[in-house]
Amino acid sequence: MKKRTVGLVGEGLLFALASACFFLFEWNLQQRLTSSDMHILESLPYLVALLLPVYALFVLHCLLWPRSKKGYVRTFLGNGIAFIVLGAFLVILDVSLLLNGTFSSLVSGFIHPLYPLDTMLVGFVFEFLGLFLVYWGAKKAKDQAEKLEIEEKPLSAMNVVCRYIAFPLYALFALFFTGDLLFFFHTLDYEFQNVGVTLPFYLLMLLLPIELGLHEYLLRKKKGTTSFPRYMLQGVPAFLLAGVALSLWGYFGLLNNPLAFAESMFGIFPLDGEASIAFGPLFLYLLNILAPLLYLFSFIFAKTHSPAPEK
Amino acid sequence: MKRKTTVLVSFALGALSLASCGSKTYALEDYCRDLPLFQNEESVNVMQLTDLHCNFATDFTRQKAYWGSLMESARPKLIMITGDSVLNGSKRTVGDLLDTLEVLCEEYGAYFGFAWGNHDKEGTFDPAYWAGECAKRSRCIYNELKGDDVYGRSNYVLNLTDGSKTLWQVYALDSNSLIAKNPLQYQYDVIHKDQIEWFEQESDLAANKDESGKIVSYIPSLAYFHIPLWELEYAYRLAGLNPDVKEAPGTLYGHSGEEKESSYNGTPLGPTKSWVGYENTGFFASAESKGVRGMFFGHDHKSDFVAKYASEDSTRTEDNAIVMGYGLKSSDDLTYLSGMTGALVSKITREGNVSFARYYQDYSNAGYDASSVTIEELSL
Repeated sequence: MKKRTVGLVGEGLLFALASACFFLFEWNLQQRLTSSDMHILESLPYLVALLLPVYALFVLHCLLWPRSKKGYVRTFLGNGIAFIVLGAFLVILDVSLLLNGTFSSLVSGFIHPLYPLDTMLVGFVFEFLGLFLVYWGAKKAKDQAEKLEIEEKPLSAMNVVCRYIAFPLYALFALFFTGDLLFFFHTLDYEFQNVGVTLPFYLLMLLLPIELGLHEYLLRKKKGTTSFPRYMLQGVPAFLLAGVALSLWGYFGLLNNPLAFAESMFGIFPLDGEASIAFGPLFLYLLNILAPLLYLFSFIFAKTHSPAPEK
Repeated sequence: MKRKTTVLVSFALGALSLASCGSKTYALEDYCRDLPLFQNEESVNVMQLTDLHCNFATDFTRQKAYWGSLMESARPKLIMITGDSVLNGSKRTVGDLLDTLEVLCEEYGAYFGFAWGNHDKEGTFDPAYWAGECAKRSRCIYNELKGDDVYGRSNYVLNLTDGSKTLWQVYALDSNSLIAKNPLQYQYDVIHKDQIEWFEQESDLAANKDESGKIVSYIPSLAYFHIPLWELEYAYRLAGLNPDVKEAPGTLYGHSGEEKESSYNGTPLGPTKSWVGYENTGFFASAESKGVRGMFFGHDHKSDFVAKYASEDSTRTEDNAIVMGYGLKSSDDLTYLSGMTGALVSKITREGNVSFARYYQDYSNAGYDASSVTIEELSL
């Protein structure tokens, strides 16, 4: 298997792990913020450890899709050092909390039985990864960068907004909802009281990582040209239609059955019950409709794209 | 082919939209459980804990000491927890809470049950998880009938007997959680009308009857649930405590305590300090027509208002009007007021008399024992 294929498969797997971690991060942060005794110190290693895979995903993504040859080398070095610092921070934090008596032992079990030992191990893993990245960045990355075929073009304002604001935001929400989906076996209403109402929301959640995958593996510009292939002409509008249809299904489902949320969806949308606002459904509607729309617009208004060659 | 597929998919989606599990009608007796608490006792203390809000960070050793001090002081035989037992809990949270209560109840020879609150489903477990876990604990008397046709989950009856005869009944009701005001906003739900119908049938079933089967008298009872009723706000207004509105239907015979929550404006009642359900479905009037002597709830963490109140068309008098009100928040998680935490205890006797007391216990780093509990008898 080619190195790049391994990288892309790894990115997919890391996305799944990071999404589960990000869902747990939001859920636990919400728990802490709504609690009178927030136990922030005791929870901090856990919250940091949950964010590290998300950061690792970002780094892997940058390495798989470098913007420039210099940037490629800097990604190794800069993020390698950041990994080492964060890993060391996590280990030092755990040791400090252990020494000052906040944790009674390495397996004090505050959050789960192996806590905080598990977060300390995560810290060591990231230190090791950081060392590896720095080593690779210093020794090999420069040679690799020379072989990369990257066409460095100035970006339109629309592309800058899409690339640096809209896409990362979308990716974070997609991570959260993918994690939410991965935890379905915990939160599913096993009495299946409102299948007709909950199903569109599960499908809307599923669409988000699929759309990201489509973007990452099929629609991104390759070898310096922005392709405008049939995937674009057929795939994105299809997702837009699916998003609209499922959003309407979910909206009218809740309108028709105002008790469905309380009966079957508390676990799926952890924030909504506390805020008495349908944040979860609302974000799913918006993400699944706005993202394909934005994608279409970004292509329509992009100054850099050129039509894909006919096959 | 494409058209056929479209039709099939449309049909499947339509069927799914209508899909829901069928509900089952159980016998009224299936909701009941006998507890011979009066077998060797002249009176029994029923302790209400509420709004525990346990989560993964809850220190159950500390909570056990806290609840234990209240139990040591009040010596209850039955503990009713009126909702929001967990908030963003996990399966482990539920297990730890049940284990803690199980150990305490073993120690004091008591039993414990739950009514659901609006936060109890928030967590990484499916709603049916509670029932399965409760069934594993011998001291837990929570009773949820799978797939029953009474709305909600925690609808059950405890018959407190002297070994043969039911002297008191305790009702747990699910006041439910949220209902969509529109598809983007929720409001607090209420005890549904079919639950009230079920409650009336259960009361009639247990009532004392003559030879012809005609009801002679109702068994005295207590009711526990989570979200307060509109009648509480009426009593609050009649007590002159609502600065804006002093008039309300019904008669107030006495009151105690305060409401210190922030203002809520989610119902046609206008701004209230009680975070009540979106409508009045008539449970209070129904309870008055049966044997209920006291009804207690939680939901609002900074309120301990209790009132002796009769509704407008009630035949109840000062002697037998229902005492209703808030229990004391029984944990220091989420919002609370120092000096307003602990438990509310109802002392019920063989003769059908009832009296109430608040057991205050503040949270402290010094630990907890019965000597630091302050008892306030309610003269209602």
